[in-house]
Amino acid sequence: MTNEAILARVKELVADVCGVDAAAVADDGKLLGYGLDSVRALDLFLAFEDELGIEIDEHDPELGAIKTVRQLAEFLDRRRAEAGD
Amino acid sequence: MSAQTTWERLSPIALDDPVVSAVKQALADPSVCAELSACEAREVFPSEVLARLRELGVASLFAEAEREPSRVTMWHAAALNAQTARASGSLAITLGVNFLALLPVYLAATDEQRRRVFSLVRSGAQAALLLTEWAHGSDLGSIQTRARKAGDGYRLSGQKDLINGGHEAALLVTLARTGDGVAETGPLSVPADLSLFAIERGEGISALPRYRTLPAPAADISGVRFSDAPVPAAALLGGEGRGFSIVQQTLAISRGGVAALAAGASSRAFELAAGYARRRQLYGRSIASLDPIADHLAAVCALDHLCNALAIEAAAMVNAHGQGAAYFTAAAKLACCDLAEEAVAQGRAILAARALLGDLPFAGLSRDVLLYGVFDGTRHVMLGHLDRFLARMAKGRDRSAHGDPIPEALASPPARLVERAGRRARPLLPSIASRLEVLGERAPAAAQAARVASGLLGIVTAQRGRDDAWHPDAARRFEAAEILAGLEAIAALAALDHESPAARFAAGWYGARMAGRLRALVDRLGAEPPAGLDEAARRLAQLGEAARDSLLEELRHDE
Repeated sequence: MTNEAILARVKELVADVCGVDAAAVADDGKLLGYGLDSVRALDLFLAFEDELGIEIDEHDPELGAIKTVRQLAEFLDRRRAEAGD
Repeated sequence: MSAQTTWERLSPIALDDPVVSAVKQALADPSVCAELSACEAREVFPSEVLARLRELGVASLFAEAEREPSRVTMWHAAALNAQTARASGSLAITLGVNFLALLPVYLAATDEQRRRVFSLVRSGAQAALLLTEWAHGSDLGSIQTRARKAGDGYRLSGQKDLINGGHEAALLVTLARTGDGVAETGPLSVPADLSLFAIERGEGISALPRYRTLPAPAADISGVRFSDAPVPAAALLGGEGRGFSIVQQTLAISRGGVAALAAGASSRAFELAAGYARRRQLYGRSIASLDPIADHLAAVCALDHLCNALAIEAAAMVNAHGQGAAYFTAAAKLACCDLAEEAVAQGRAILAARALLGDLPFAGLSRDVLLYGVFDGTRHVMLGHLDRFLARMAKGRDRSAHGDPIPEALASPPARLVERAGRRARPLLPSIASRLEVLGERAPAAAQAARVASGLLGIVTAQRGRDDAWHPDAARRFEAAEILAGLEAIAALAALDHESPAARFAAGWYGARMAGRLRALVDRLGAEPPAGLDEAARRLAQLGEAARDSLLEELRHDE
C-alpha cells in the first residue's frame, strides 16, 4: 500500500469511527476536531488491525504526539515498514 | 403460557447445567426465600444463602481447578443473573459482582495468576471490582488511588468507594494509578498510567463502613481504604499501564450481565402482577377483566418480553463475539434497565396498596429495580456510547461482513467465557433499519418499525454538520440514542418470537411509542418529519391493538 493510499484509508477509518462525513476529514485535519478520544481511539486501533493489518500497541509512546490525520498516517506507515510489510 | 420464565421461553439455548438448575431450585425453596427476606429486613449480608449456593457449585462454575476447567459461558452468567434478580436484588448483585470482578482475570491474567485467583474463589472468597472513588465515578481517568513501585512490588494508597463487596470480598480487583500522567498526550492517547491489580485483602487494607442503600439493603456496598498496602508484582494484571483498556473490555461484556439482572426483575414484576390480577376479585370478577387493569397487564407483559429478548440477544452476541458485542451490551444495559423499571411501575399500578407493603415481595422489587441502571456505567454513560454508535450507523457502513450477525449468534453453541472474553473485536454495528426490514418479512410490526429506524438514521444524517457531533445539543442526541435502544428491543423480540400474542402486542405497542418519540424529537429539532413516519406510527398502534385481546385472553386464564 502506498503512503497516499494509507492516508486515504486512514481518513476513511477516522470518519467511520467518529461518525463524520469522509469528505470532512482533511489530510492535515486535527483528530480532536473529529471527536477522537481515548474510547474511540481503541476502536480505531482495532480498525487498523482489521483493515490495514497493522497492529498498534495502544501504549506506544509516539501516539501522544500525534495530533493530525497526516501524522497518524505517517505513524502507521512507519509501523508497517518496521513490521516488514 | 407455560410455567417457564420469560427468559426460558425466549432463550434459544436450553442450558442443561446442574448448577444453574440447582440454583433455580434453591431460590424457589421457601426457607431460602425467607432467609433472603430476613436479611433484607435486617440489612445484613446474606452469608448463609451464599454458602448454600457455593455448596451447589457456583464457585466451581466460574473458577477453574486443575483438570476441571471453568465451564461458565455468557449464557450461564446471564441465566444466573436473571434467576437471582427474580429472587432478590441483594443476592443478585452480591453474586453477580463475582462475574464482573473475574472478567479482568479471564481477559488479562497469566496462567499462574488465574491459578491463584481461582483457588481463592473455589475456597470461598468473594471477589469485588474496585474502580469507583467518591469523587470519580464515570471518569475513571481521574482516579487518585496510587500504586507506587516499592522493591519488587508496589504500595497502594487511596480509597475506593461505593464498592459492591467492599467489606466481604477477599479478592479485590483494583484500578490504581501507576504513572504520573506527564507524558505528552493527544487524541489517540489511551490512559497509560492506570493499572489493574488482583489483590488479596491483607496488610494495609481496611474496609470502610457499609452504606445503607435504598435498593438491595442486604448487599455490601461500602468502601476500601489502602494505607500504603504492600502488593506483590505478581498481582498486576496485563502489565503496567493496561488498566484502562482492560476495564473497557470488561465493561463491554459485563453490561450484558446487568441487562440480565434487569430481565429477572421485570419477569418477577410480571409474574406477581399477573398472578394478583387473576386472583383479586372486584365487583364479582377478577380485576384482570377490568379495562384499566387490563391495560397495565398487557403493558407489563410487553415490557417483560422486550426486556428479556434484548438481554438474551446481548448474551448471545457476547457468547459469539466477545468484545465485538459492545454496541449490543450498551443498548441492552440502557434499554433493559428502563424497561424493567417501567414493568415494575406498571405492576405497581395493578397491585396498588399491596405493592407498598414491606412484607410482600413487590415492595422489594420496586426498591431493587432502581439499582441496575447505575451498575457498570450510568444511563448517561450508556447514552454517550449509543450516541457515538448511532452516528456511525447513520453513515451507512454496515459493520457486519455477513449481514445481520444476530441469527448466527443466537444459534452459536455456548463458548467458555475464559476463552471468549478476551476475543478482541471491533464492535459489530449492523444497521437497525436493515435488520428490522428483514425481520419484517415475517413480522408486520418489524416492517413498520424499520420505517421508524430509517427515519431515525435519516434524521441523524440530515442534521449532521461537518463537526464530530450530528447535533450540538447532547440532550437531543441522547433522545435519539434512547429511541435506537428501544428499536433494538423490538428487533430482538422479533428475532426470538414474532408469533405469540405477547410478542405481536409488544412490537406494535412499543413500536408506536418509539415512532411517537421520534416524531416529538423531529418536531423539537424543527426538522422535516421522515416520510412515512406518521403512517408507520398508525400501523404499529393498530398491530398492537389487533393482538391485545388475544394477549389478555391468555393472561386472564394462564396460571
